[in-house]
Amino acid sequence: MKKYSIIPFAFLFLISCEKVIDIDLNQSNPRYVIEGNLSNIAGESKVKISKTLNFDETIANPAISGALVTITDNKGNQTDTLDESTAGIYIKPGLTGIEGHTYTLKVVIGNEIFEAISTIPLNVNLDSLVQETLAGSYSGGGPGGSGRPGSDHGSSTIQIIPHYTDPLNFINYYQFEVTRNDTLVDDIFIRNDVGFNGSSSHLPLRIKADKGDVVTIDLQCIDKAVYNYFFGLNENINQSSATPANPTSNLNNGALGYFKAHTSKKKTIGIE
Amino acid sequence: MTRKYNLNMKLIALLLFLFILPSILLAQSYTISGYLSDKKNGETLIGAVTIVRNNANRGTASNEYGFYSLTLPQGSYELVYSFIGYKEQTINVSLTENKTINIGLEEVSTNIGEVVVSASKVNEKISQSKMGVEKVNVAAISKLPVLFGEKDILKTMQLLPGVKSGGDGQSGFTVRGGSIDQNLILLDDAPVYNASHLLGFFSTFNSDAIKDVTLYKGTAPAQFGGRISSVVDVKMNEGDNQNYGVSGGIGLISSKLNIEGPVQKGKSSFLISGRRTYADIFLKLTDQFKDNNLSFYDLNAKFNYRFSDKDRLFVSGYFGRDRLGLNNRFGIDWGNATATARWNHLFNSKLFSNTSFIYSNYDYNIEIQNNVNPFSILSRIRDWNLKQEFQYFPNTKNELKFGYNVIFHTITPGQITNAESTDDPFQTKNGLESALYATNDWQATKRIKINYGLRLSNFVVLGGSDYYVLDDDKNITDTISQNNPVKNYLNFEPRFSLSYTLNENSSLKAAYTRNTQNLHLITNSVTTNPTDKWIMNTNIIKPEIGDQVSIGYFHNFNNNMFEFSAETYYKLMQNQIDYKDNADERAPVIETQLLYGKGRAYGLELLLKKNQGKLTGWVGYTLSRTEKQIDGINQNQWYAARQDRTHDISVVTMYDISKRWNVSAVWVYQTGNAITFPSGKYEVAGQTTWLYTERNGYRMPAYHRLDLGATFKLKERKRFNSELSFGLYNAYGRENPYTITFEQSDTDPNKTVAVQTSLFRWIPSVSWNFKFK
Repeated sequence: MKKYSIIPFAFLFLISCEKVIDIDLNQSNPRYVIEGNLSNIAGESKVKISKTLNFDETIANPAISGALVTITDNKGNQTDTLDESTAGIYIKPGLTGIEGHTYTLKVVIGNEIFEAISTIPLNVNLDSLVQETLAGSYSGGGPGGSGRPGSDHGSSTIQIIPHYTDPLNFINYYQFEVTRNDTLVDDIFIRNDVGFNGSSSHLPLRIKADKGDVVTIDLQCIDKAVYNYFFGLNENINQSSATPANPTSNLNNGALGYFKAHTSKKKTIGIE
Repeated sequence: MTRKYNLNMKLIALLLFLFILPSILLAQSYTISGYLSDKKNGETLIGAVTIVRNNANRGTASNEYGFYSLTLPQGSYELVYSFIGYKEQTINVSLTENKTINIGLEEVSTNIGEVVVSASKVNEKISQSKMGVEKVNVAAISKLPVLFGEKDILKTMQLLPGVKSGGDGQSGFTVRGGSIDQNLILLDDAPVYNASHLLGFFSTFNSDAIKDVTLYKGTAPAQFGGRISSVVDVKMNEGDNQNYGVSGGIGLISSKLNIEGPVQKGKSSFLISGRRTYADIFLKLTDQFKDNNLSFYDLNAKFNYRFSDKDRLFVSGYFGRDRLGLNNRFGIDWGNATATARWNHLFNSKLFSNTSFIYSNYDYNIEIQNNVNPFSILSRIRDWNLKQEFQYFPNTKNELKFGYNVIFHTITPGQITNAESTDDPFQTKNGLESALYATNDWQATKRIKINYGLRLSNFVVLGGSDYYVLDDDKNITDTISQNNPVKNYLNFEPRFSLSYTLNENSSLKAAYTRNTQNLHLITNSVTTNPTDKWIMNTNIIKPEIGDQVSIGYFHNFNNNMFEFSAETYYKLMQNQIDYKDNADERAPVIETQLLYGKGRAYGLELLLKKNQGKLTGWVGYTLSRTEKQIDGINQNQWYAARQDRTHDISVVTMYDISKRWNVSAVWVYQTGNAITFPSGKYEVAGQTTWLYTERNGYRMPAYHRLDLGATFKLKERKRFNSELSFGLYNAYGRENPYTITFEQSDTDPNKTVAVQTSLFRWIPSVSWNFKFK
């Protein structure tokens, strides 16, 4: 008589594999990309103009030169013209935005005109920065952090708490620009005050840094349209949105990019 | 309010009158009624047929509790009781008074070539009035190859035309272009909100505990309602009321055990069936994964008790739980619990009543462990449900069903608990869904059979939590906080289907149905995630409405050995929901991220089945299109819905080599999902980002896969038998895409590449199934 025995199987074949594939993506007509920044700190405003590329194109800097760029203060109707300093970068030394004022950016390229409006909100003070070290390295996005894979391998993740007090009465939108050892960190940190309007904020920013690094945090107050733009941009970069689309720009006429008028409050901390 | 109730009462009276009108009583007739069951174990048989041989072969089918009722004029009759896979039984009756005849049918010993693929009656598809209906026989699926060797009724269903799977390892499915939340999945009448285990690799239905599954592809009669695409009606086994039995199975990643037996022999029985995975136990033994966890278990239990020939009580329940843990930092566990208590009562031999109390709960809990502020987020949907149904059998030409259903829904979107407190920032919401219905199966002439019915459905958005008023830009302009109901939605849902018998072997059918849906799943993909968000109607979100028209041709040939069907459908869907561009899925007021519009779906479904012989199986093909038109998306133009698939082919074959060996193969091919891919790139804010041109403008690569299976029956002992099943999933190792992402190339940072992640190739499995008697 035959005998059968049960063989204990203990394999788990949950293996996933990744590979680069060819996808036939539609060629698209190039579109202009305008990045306008107007700060309430002198010398920190600039406008950058470039264009879109197809996936297989490898031009490092598709700058658009020869554009006419102006910024108008809607209150005083004063118009400043920006000059091209390097290819595709337009600046005017001494150009300074004023809190509470609304500005219009106008860019003329050939016979196309692109315009955007942005308001500098009232300033919010950055009181202090406090560092918190996390146990172990943690990759992945925390609140406001994007945790882009592949960036800064080997550095540990730390938390820096920017302490500030949110003003009452209206919805405030914030962006934190983080600089690590004089290099601007790619990650987009944005926040609004929904849920903690009028209170002191102790929410941390999660960044990669090592002992001895010098980290500067710039607390910027931005308007709602700019906040929405960066929210959408962050979703796009992380490919995390259910419905990826170009972030809604405050520029008209089909231009990509944004015009951001903002306040600026910086503080620096040495990492321990 | 009272006026409205009066109006409702009048409406009911009118409806009942209209429905009962066709059933003018015949002079001097008597009723034969009773229950049909399996002689050996007492399991009631659903859809077993009673035919009156010397009365134009008129007959009836047993209902979901095995009950049948036939009213005939005084006289002598020859009654034939039959059920596929069982021996026919003939009884001569001289009808001079009402009679109760309970029949136990004997199973045919399964010889080679007598495999039951589906359908309880050989030519049921020809003779019934309903269309768009598929029955999945649990015994038949045991031979099909499946992932990890665990047979799965939901996955087998996805091999039928018109039903499309979500992809590798997904239990989520779409029916006739609907989305995954538009399927009403009922387990003993209790709605199951998430029918998947292990992130979709298993379904929640343990096939050992399941008796019968019926799928209605949007054409369900009026006793069903609440979803616009389909109804999957799953009935659990009752348990052997003659003998005790233990059966089970040992597989690669899970095991199961099933115990059943009589409580009082021949009168009442119980069944308990459980499953558990043990991958987590092995993970603990490895250094690399010891802090990770991925597991599930579930338990089905049922008990029934017969008080008398007129009263029977069923209590059944399901409890299942999944757990996923990563590095002890992040944990998520989720699961369904359902409980159903049903009371069958026979008022008389023509009037059958069933009253059900149903509880259903689905929740998931996310735990975040960190040393600053550990917290957990609980989301839950909970239903209390009362169903009353009457079935009335006035004569052999009519079968009426009427009743009502009231469900109290509670949805907690995200309750946050930390060391200090519990907070409900998104607010628990309540809704009251009710329905009133009547439906009749009417044999109008010898050739024409009609099912018609009406369902009135009502949904009350209850107060007690905040609702919002939005402006055109989706900004919140006002908050509605009141204890009174916020909004009421009333819908009329007519249902109609007609079959015209051309001859003994073929029929033509046509149907129109309207369904509405008051609960909606806001999901970011076609896959099933435990964290998908269920929401109810609000003052802003309206009930979804689906209208479907379908026509079909059904033909059996070679003495019912082959079964062919062709069905086409056109469906229009109103109040469809989609995310706006760049939606924030975490927004506290989700309405600010949503857009509403309409959808349409149309297609052709072909099915050729071979039901008898050594070789059995089917070939199914679906040609279809599903589109949406929502203002604010793609310049307000029609666009392909994510689940739109042009072609869908499945080939299912089973072959009996000998008494002990049988082999099977399944091949599927599907057009890829519609998806949004970027069309270019640009640099902004120091980072490369993608340029998009339209939503769902691209296609995932096509999905195809071959699975192979074999079953070997081990030597049978007196009280014990067992079998080994072998399977090979994805036999030719196709790398089907799970996700596609776009990245900067590692070798050239200025170049962008598309990276495809696929889940698995060549998954072998073996499992050992046994049965003690």
